[in-house]
Amino acid sequence: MKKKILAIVVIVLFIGGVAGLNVVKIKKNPGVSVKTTKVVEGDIVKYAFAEGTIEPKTTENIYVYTPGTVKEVLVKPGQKVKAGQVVLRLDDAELKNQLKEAENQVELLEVQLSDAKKAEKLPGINQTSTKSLKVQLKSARDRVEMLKEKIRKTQLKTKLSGVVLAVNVEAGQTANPGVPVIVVGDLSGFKVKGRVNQFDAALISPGQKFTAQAEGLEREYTGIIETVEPQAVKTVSAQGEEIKVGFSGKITGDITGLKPGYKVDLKIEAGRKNGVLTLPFETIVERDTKKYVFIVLGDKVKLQEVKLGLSDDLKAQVLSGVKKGDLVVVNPPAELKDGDKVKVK
Amino acid sequence: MGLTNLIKVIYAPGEVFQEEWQKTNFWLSGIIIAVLNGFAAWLSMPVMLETMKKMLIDKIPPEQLTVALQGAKISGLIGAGITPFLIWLLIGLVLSLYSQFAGVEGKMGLYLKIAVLSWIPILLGNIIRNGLVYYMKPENYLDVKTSFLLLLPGEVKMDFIHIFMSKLDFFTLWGIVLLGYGYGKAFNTDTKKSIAFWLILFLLISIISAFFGGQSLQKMA
Repeated sequence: MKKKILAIVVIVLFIGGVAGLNVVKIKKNPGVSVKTTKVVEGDIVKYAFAEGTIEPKTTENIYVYTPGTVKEVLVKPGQKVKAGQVVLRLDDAELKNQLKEAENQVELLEVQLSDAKKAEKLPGINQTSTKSLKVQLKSARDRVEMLKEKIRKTQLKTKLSGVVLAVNVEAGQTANPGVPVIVVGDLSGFKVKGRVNQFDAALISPGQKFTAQAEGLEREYTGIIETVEPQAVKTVSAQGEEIKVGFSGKITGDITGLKPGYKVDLKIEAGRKNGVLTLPFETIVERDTKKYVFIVLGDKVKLQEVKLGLSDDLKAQVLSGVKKGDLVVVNPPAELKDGDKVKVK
Repeated sequence: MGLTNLIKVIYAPGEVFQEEWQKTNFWLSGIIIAVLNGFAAWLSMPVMLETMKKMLIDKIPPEQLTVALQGAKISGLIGAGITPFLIWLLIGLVLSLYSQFAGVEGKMGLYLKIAVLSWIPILLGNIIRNGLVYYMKPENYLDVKTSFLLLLPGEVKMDFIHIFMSKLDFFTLWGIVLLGYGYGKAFNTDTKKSIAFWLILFLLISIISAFFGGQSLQKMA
């Protein structure tokens, strides 16, 4: 019997202990434990990201005027050239023969015309032959000039001082108009051409600064966006169809190490606000499309609507709702509500 | 009598399991426990639903929230009534398996009766926990604890030690001890060995579930 009473006492004490400890713990509950941060002034920089390709500041594609056999290529890729320098010669032997014949024809017609002029002074001679010879002579002279011009054009010259970027033909090959035989670039400066996705396209505009990073090069390059294409294009990649917008910019700073054709990753400064009130995204909760933060007032929180402006990856500019120094809850628990008691960690 | 044994097993388990346990009416005892368990669940239902509402209010539309709360209420009450039967069946099967290894002959009905009687501390724990929720009305019904978590200072974290401690419920441990003791007494085997076996098994399951539970919670976080 004693054992039973002892067992009952122990059980009652045990149950009372468990219940009592719970009561004490719950009554002592200091509130929801939360982390906080202060509303501070800071800079917000919004970036757009794109890939681009480095191109020379100016490029000249040199074409032949008429199809012809390449006689001599006078430059190599990487060679420096000056404006007016002959870079390629086409075979002009055939043209020169034609020129010789044309010149002979002119001489012959001049003699015939001279004889005809003397003869027309004699009575009974028709003047029509003189006129005809004059026309033929003019035509022959024109042909001579045309052939001279053609011969002159067999020597291709660059209009640009720079570096030979590409030589697309060899001696003996046939060069055709429409395909550049030699490409010359002015490497005293570079531009960058690229495309951005539809989302980032809305952010970029001429005049914005960017930094460019090329694979394998340690340093960053700086530049400015010059143009944004007015029309988007559809591109197809492994990720599927994408709408992209083209843009170009120029590299403004030091270009050491860059080469035409390099791929670069661009970080375009699409917006900047300096010295504005900022809030980390972890503090912002969205309810019914409105944005709120929990401001800590004493040992309680107040649910406060905020208006946000420019944002970067981590924080947003606050236009209204909080003031500098306000303590706001970071990552508010889902069950936290207006007026709840909190304990700041 | 079933009801007498249900009360007596709390303060004099030796007598119940040694002499009277075969008189226990499984179905009557089971129904009494299920009803009391349902009553305990009903006590904490308002606080549980309020906590759930706070957690879901920003995440799902109001219509869905109403349905979810209604569903939680019904399933909570039905679950409180049905779950014990399923657990007893499971314990009965495990006891049967254990008996085969231990070379003890027994019938399923007897195993179920041991399971029901050793469930009494767990029922007591449910009533006390839910009664405290009903009485204290805390912000979160999970703030009321009957496990070793109650003895840990500071906040509850989702790490291994806290999850493991939460598994070590005082009343569940009592029930486990009673299960081992009852089995030993009922089949005249070593009660200490039997208690140790069931406690070690329970601890192993708790450690494994706390380890994987902690990992999945950390991933979710």
